[in-house]
Amino acid sequence: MDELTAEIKPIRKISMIWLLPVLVAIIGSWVMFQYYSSQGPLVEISLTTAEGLEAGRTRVRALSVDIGVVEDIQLEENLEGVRVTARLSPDTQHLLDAQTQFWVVRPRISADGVSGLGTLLSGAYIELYPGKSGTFKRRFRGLDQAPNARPGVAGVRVQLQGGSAASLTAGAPVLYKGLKVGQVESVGLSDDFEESLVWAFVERPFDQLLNRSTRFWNASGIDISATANGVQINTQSLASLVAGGISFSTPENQAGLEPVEPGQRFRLYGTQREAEEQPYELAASYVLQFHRSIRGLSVGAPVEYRGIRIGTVEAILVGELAELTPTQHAVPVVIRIEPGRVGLPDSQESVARVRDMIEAAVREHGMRASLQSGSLLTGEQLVAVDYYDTGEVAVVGRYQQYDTLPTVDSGLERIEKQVSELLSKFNSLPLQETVAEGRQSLASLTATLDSLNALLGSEATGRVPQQLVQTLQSIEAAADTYGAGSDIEREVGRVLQQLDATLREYQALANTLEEQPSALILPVNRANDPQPKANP
Amino acid sequence: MKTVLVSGIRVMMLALACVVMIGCSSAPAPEKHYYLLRTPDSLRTGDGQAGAQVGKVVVPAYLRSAQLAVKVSETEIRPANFHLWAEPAPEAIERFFRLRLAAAHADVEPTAWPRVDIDIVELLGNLQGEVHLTAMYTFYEGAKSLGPPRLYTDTVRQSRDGYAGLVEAHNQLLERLAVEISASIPGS
Repeated sequence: MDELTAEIKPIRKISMIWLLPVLVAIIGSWVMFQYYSSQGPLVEISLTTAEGLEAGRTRVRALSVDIGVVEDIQLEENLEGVRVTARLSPDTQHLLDAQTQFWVVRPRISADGVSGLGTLLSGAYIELYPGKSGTFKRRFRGLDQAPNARPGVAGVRVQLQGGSAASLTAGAPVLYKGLKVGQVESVGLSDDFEESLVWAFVERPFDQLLNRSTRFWNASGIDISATANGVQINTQSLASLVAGGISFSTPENQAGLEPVEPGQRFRLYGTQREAEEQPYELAASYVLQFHRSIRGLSVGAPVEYRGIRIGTVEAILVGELAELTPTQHAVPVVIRIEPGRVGLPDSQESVARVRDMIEAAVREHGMRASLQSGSLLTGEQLVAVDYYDTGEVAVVGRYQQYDTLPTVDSGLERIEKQVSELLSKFNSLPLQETVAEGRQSLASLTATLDSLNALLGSEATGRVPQQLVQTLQSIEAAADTYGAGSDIEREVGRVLQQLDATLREYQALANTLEEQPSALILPVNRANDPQPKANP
Repeated sequence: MKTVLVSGIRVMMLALACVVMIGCSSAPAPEKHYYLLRTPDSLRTGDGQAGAQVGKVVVPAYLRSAQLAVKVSETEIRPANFHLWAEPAPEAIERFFRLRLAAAHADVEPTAWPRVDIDIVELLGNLQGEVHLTAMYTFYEGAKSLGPPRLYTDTVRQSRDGYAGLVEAHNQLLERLAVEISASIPGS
């Protein structure tokens, strides 16, 4: 019999003590998760300087609400700035995207005013302006000061290119009729460094004032000018006097054009006068050839028609003076006739229409241009266009690439010329011979009058009136005898009637002989006349 | 020589005798009739309306002939050989209008009357007794026309046969035209 044997297996038993570290690990993980999940986003902001900033103390605010704190401030590796690390509140992640802007708010005194006074006691802080693009971002380049135009503000941004941007600074106001409607965002140079380039922002609804014909000018400082219109002093607001500024205007008759697109480029004129002298882009250019001094006429002088400005003196072709000959010695002056000044649209069609009108006016009505005094005080001259009947045919000619308008002297010069011509003719008269002939004629006339007096005083002459009366009576009697209704007239009438009747008979005889030549000796056989019937 | 002369005289006498015989044997020519255009007695006294001075009166060529004419087809007229106007028809027509339009208007000076020019385009009868008148007339004050030319057309039938009836129809048509002109005088 088999002996039963027991198989003994060892039993492994884990001690309950080991549950404790597992539990601790789980709790610790949960605490760690809770800690990190409650942290807000960490952002890095690059600034040019950390002036006034302090790690662990400087706050980050949005619209004056604390949303974070600066945790760390480090120098950039290239030492061109500082990198500020800030921890924001957990619920601010949606504020951070590509359009988000940060800048440091410090006490600031400028021509626009005083700002950031509150930071004198609380210290500088970092302002956040949220973006709206929706793409999360955690690294930003901060601004040294508050942006001139807050992101998201409606309006239009335009670029202004001009000769000089003297006195203009970023933040300078953009003025319309003296009121601030925007600000200068940046001032720089154009790509070719030849001109200044200014970016300006015009807020809504004032951006509707802009269109293609809008003119901008530098409103900085005081503009004093002496022109044909007299002495003019122009200035804008006190802020623009100190920090510079830009003004603009739109001609009233061009106010209905399409609004401008963002980024539209405009010309920046140095003064209001320059801008207003060039309010229209398109014009018909003509050359005037003056045969007299043009002293006092300057580029920009007005061109007027009966006192109404219709254009501008564009250029005086000084370089052409080198080509003058004894027969061609006129001074060429280029003028612009601008259709927009007479209410026409600033378009090529208006220019063509104005050219046709001027050509017809010159050809059919003798339109000519002349120099006239614009201001007795300054001696400035202007160009006046009007109709002149000079007795000469006026035509539109050609000078280089320009059409020409005929010119005429006017005013004092015209009178002076006419007086000069009159005196020349007077000098050329043979006065001495004429006076001598006049004396002889007077002597002869005196003798003739003496003879006439003697004749009138004679007795025979005294009978002449009576004989004249008798002659007239005879003529009147003859007229009664032979006039209308007289016996002779009636007798002549009867004779004419008899002559007419005789001619009729002769015509009948002639017709008979033509039909039947033998009618002279033989009887005429004529058919009876057809008889009209009363009742056919 | 004498024999030749005598024989010549005999031939001439014989020829003359033949001519006389032919003339005496032919039928006599029809009688000629002469006609007048007259203003009816009832019209000479006027009707109290304003008058008009008669200016130029134009008539067609067949009215300037002494012979009366009658239309034998649409394009042919035939002048009568034995029916003649007693006086030139143009003068008679002009006198007709002068008397008719200027009668009995003592209250207005004749020099203030307008002038009327009359153009007789057609005044002609046919063999069926229909007499047609087409005329245009225009009033003037000095050299200035007082309106466009006015057209008048009318047709009457002869009241009796022959040329006498034709002339009476002429008279009747001219009278109707005179009445029309008198009623159209500006200011009347």
